[in-house]
Amino acid sequence: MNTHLSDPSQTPFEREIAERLVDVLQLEIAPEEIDPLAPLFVEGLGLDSIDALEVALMISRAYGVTLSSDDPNSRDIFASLRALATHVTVMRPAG
Amino acid sequence: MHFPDTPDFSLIHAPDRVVVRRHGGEMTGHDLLRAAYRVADLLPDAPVVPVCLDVGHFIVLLLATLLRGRHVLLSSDRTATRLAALAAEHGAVCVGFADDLPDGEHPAHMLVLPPPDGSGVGCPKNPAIDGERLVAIVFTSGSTGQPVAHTKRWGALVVRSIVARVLLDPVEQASTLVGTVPPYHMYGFETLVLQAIHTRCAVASGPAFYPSDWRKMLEFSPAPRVLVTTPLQLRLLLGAELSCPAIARIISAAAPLGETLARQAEDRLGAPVMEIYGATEIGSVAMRRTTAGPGWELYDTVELAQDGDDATIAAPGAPAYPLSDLVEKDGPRHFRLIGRRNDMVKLAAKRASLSALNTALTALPGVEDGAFLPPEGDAESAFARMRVFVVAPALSAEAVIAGLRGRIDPAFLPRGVVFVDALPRNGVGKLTVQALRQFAARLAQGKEIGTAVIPASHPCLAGHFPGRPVVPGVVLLEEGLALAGLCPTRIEQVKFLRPVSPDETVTFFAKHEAARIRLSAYVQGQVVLRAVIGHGPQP
Repeated sequence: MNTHLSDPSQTPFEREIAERLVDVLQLEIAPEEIDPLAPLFVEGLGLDSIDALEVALMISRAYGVTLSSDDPNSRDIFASLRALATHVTVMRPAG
Repeated sequence: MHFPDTPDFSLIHAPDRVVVRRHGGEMTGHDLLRAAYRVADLLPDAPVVPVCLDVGHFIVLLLATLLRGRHVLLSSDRTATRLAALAAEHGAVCVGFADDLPDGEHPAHMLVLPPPDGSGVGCPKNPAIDGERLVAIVFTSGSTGQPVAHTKRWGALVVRSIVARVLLDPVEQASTLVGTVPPYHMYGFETLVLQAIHTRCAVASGPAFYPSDWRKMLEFSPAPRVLVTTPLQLRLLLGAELSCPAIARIISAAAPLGETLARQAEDRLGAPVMEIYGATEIGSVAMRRTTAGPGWELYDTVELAQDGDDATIAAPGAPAYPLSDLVEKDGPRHFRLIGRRNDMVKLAAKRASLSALNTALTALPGVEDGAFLPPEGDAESAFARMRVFVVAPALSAEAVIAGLRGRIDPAFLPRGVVFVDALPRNGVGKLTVQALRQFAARLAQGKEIGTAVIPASHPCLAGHFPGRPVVPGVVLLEEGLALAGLCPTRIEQVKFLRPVSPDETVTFFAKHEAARIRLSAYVQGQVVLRAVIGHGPQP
């Protein structure tokens, strides 16, 4: 879990997810340039709901974490790279 | 013909049956009518812009609006500002339910009602609606970029629902429709909402965003289940590799479905994949099984007239619609699609006119010239996005995208902005999509940096593949790196795509990006190597 909620530099795991985001969404930005605290949607990277679905598929394949609208915090998962990485870290199956 | 002599124009067909199924509950037609009467009492005397997400709530709101003597306005652009503007332009009111509001900003002046309540007993009045009554106005983006209104009347909708049902739900028992699409464009409105109220089919209701949500709806719905989806979502469902309950039939529309994807879906989900052909203007008019070939079968009562390149669809109660596709009739009830005849682009079930998009782009301050390039292909690249090519020496990519945001539908916001010195316009200044695509392909390849020939006498070949010498990949890569003047600290990716024989001329290209160089090599026009070389600091 992240203990440095306002640290603007990427953790190694955030960097890993950032690389996957850039790859799967064909973003014209280098992974290291994604601000871990900036919103992923609209104002930040400008992603939309189709991107969210694509990211959800990537997350389930890479980490075995299935996103669902019934998750209590489903509205916050895409708040930022850090929120996404934290959610995956928490929900990831052990081992 | 399956068309009944006297279609049922009641608000809900056969209200004794279950119409809406949700997790842990269901609503009969009587329950929906009870809820609708309660909602109708709370509605102002004005058209309604529904803002709810849940299909069951949408049905209650539609019925309530009709009971109030009014119609709904449907826009596939769901941004709060667009919905508020729509309501303002048409003297309508945005209406949502307290337990079912979209994330983020809500339209201004939205009326928020308590959750629909269908409790009680008995059979509320189920009035017949006049066939000529205006039920809905559905909006599409027109060639000028301004929304165009399409009016939908009750009788025409009822008749179409009945003829479509025979094809959507052809098994003995009534099906439950499980939708991954919203009710706000014509496809979802007809295939989920209207099917459920006009025919024997029930509809599943619940969150429908993620593939796991769709599986949940399939799980709580009894067989037979009909999945109502799009190529994009079908690909996601297969990609998620979820185990789903048996599906009797898969329905796809909103974008062309690739045959490969259709076949995969049929194999993996064990159900025929049927594709609907239609348009907002005329609704669903034909169907085909994608894997069975290119022929489309018209719905009963729908007629297609062809005169050279012009084709017109006619259906009872609906205005005649000139098709925007080129078609070829194949007997009285079948046709094939030949191609598109206008500049409409479809992405994510939205459509826009390419010329309207280009007008928005070139109107931006600082953009001297520019053009959108739509993605190639269909379902296999369903995630592909628009790219723009601009002549705008003083602007950044972010500035171009920020300028377009709010002016065009977000689905068409470019994912890539490519700055160029000039666009490949022809002698009369016209830019064709084909010319732009070729231009883009050349740009993507990067700049030619030189050629190399590995002679048969090269020491690396000794002992390699005796009898059929092949140049080792590492030797090719070394040649490319030398031509690019690179001494890499980091080879991020390298792929050798086909063997290179000694004495073949290999042409290398390099494309410089922010922190990496993309290297590619070609022999006689065929790619043999692709590599990504990092030249920034080691992460």
